[in-house]
Amino acid sequence: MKIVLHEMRKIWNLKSVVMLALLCGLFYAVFLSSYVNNYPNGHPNAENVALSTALTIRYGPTLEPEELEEYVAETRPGLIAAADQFIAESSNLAEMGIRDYASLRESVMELSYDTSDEAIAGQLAILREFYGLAESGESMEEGACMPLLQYEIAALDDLVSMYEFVLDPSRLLEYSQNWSTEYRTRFEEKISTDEFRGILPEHTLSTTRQYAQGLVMLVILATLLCFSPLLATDRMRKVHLLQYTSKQGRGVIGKQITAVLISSIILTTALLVVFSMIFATNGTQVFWNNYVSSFNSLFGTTIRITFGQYICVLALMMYLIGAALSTFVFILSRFSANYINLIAGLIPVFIASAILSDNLFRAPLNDFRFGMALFEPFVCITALMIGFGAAICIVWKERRIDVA
Amino acid sequence: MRLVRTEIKKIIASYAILGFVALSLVFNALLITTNGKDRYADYVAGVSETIGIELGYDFSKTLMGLPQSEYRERLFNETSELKNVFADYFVGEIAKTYISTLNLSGKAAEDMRAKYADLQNIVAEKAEDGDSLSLYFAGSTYSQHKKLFGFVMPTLCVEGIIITLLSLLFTLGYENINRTEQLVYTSKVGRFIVLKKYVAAAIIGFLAYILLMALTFALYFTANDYSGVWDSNVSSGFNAIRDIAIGFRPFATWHNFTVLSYLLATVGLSFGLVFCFSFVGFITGTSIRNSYIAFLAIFFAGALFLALPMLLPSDSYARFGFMLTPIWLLLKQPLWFTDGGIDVLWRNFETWGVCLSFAALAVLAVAASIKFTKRDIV
Repeated sequence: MKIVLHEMRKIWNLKSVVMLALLCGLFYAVFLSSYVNNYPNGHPNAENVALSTALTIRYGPTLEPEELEEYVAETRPGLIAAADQFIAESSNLAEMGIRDYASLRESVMELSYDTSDEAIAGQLAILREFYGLAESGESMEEGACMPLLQYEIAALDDLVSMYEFVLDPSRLLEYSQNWSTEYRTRFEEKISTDEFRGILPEHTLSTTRQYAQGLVMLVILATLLCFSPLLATDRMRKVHLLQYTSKQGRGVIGKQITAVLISSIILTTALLVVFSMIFATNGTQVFWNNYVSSFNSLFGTTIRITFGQYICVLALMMYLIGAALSTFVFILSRFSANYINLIAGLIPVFIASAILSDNLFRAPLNDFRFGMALFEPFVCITALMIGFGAAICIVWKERRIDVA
Repeated sequence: MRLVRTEIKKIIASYAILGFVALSLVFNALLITTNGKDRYADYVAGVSETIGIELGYDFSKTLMGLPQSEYRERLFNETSELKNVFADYFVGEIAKTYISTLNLSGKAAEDMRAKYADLQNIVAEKAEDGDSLSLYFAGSTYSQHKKLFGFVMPTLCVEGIIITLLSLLFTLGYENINRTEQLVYTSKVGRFIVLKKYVAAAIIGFLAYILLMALTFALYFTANDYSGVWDSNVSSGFNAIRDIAIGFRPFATWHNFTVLSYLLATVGLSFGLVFCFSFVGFITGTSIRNSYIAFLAIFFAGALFLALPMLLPSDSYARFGFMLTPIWLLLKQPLWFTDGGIDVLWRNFETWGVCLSFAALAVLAVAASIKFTKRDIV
């Protein structure tokens, strides 16, 4: 164990830690910060997330029909009244015969968007001005203004219609009749349980996936840059020959792979802790106990799982990818006679692992790929087994090869 | 020259560089072959070879004389509906949108308006010359153009840069790796060996880039028929730029380019960019003795140049200066010779960027070389 610790000290030196901090800072600034700072991003995502958050806090992870009815009865009239008041204050809209929210919706739905007709172009200009959207694409001002009220009402109405849709098994089954057998079976399971009553906005799920997709790239980069010089440096300086003459002998290489694997777990844990804490500042953890396959996200996941469990699966996949990659880096480092050989090998390894991880983290547990419900974790485990097996072979062969 | 030859031999003898070139070729081949074949684009290329690329009444008439097929109907519909997109194209709206999106004011806003005022003149010329009434790949133009100039060219350029950097870091770090520094620096050529090393690595980098380009293009143009479209105008009405603030808009270049001349111009300028990065490699390789640390320094410097404009306020003038740095020029390669989009304030940003980067890095390289001759190596 003492030697393993010494090998780990070689990996976790001050330079590595500073480099890692710099890498994390730059990576966060360029690729990850937008998922935290700009969440929820745009309309009506912001309203959907706010509504789902309010429902979760009030009613818990699942929503019963009477609870939704109660919530709508409490909030919708207030929103409509505010919108009606807003509309009543507009003299331009009155000229168009629009006096309340209902007539506004009707006018918007019926209006043909033929701007070559001057009368229609004039009406469109009035509506555009009313909604606060200048033609130049100026952004809306936050606060109590009509566009936001409309988004809030639309978010509530959409939620109600989606909920009514999932509560009707015949419509759901009709919807799923052209799907694969696995998908249909899973869909029937969701209908027969309370899974579809879960509350989880699609935007929250996609933002979390995209953040995880970015984070796994950071795990890959950090693993490659931190662990790769370990064996290459020893070999370049011919320290390994000295190590082999020690009491430990050629068993040192076994200790080195152990040190690399332990360091990989430490590195992934550190990155996960830091970046999960940062991500949690956007408030997504309120949905921790909610099902991923909610009425907001019909496709959901291939297994019955909550949002918290889903995040744990993503974290586990990152551990597996990190550990698998560290074994490949170990092998690469073992065969690199100098740093340039090492770098030339690291670039293709990075590209290959980035493409694989990007694919695996795009929508994990979302589809029955090759008929498997847990395809993505299976690929990660397979990658680790291959890497670990190859590393063991190297360690075993190292004991017998002629180093002179 | 003998020393340069010896250094070249050293680089070639290292399997890392050759291995990387081979892997790059495999990667490019996969990129090209797995991207899907567009049969309609092949049909359009064949048609343009037979009846030309200039759209109009004659084109439509001749086209209808070709054998009946689903593709012919599609091409007829697309070409007969195409208008001169530059005729009523007012780029002042783009400037207005960019200025309001970024909240620009003062000099930055003035420069943005000036850029699009210049472009409006070019657009007027294009409208008059009927540049947009050129076939290119008709309805497949956007995807085909993106494939070549948005994927293949940037990939090749990145590979060329990596190979040049690896060659430089290898040859400059070679004596340190083999602990022969003192021996070499006490020889007749002394520390000036780094200049020979630079020449050797630059030659290898450029040759590898040419080789990669030749083989990749050979494969690409075998898989995608370009025989009839070389003379098409790259500003064809079918081509477009996807803009984050505006959406799709016409592909307006500052100069009149055919597909061939646009490709040659892009390739030519990409050599300039590789040259810039070779200076980056030289400066880092002579300043940092450990090749791995030198590589990390380049990696982090690149990441820093990438991140800084994102961290600066959107209306900061300095932010636009970063667009002239090699890393941003590389990212903006698909927009070379156009207005460059929301992040660019000046016309011909790519040419200015490469020239200014080249000049600045050349000065730094000379300074690094002088510093190296005086450095304590023990």
